[in-house]
Amino acid sequence: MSGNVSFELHTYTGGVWKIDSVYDDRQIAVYEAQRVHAGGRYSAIRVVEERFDADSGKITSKTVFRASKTEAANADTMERQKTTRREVREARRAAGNREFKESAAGRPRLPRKSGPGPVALTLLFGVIVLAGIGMIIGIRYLFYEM
Amino acid sequence: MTDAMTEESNPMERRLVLRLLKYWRGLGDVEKFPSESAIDARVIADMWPHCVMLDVAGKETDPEISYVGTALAECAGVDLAGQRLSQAPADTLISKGLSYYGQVLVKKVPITFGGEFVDRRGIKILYRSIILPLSDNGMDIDRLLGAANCREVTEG
Repeated sequence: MSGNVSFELHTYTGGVWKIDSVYDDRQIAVYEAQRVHAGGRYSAIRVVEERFDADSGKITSKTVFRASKTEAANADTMERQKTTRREVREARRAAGNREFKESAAGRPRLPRKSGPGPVALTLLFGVIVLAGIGMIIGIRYLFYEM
Repeated sequence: MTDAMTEESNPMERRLVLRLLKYWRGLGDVEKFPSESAIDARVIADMWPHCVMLDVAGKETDPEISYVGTALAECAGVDLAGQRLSQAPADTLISKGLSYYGQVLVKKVPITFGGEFVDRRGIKILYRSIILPLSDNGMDIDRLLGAANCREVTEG
């Protein structure tokens, strides 16, 4: 190739990087890299730009694109977490709106009760009735005895 | 969205070099080069006229052109089948588009390259080509499948 810049697509498998193909155009190289990555055959891929400096005779390399299955898995997990958080937020917001609508329709929300339960109330009622009966008996006893 | 729809709607997917590369990738094992016999011209009927086959076995310094697609033959203006690559006129798509075949033999990977030249009519031509290695035994490159297309650039 006669150009001063080339883009090598590298694939990573079995612990080694291998040159897969060479391009003179970055856009085509990255596009093909994404296509190869989507194929799922390799654990990682990268596009390395190789630039030849005619003056110094040196070749400089830099990675211009990289993708791996691990990164993809992490991205999936983060996306799922983000979706879950959004769904929870929306559910909470929807619940809040429902309560607000009911209040607006003339049915004010009752304050949440924190008093004794039905069993305690029954017992309390029983105690009051018994105390009342006891008082009546006591009064009658005092009047009739005197 | 289906693959077909994606291919139709994505201009990059319509590029000859990427479509041929995709076909080549699907022909064989990851670790081995596909063979010439694996190529079915009917499957790539739309690309086949833009293709050229080079025989490089024992002819690495000057490959023999064993097949020239009609589109490339028309550009060349001469019948190059059976001729050596060095005999292709310099101002043709075949000559320009295959000029880097030696790099494919050295690196043993597909290479795609684009550029421009002025053809025999004096018209500036923009082209893009690809060269793909082939092998009968999967290891030693004995054929090269090339493809190229171009468009004229009208200035002014």
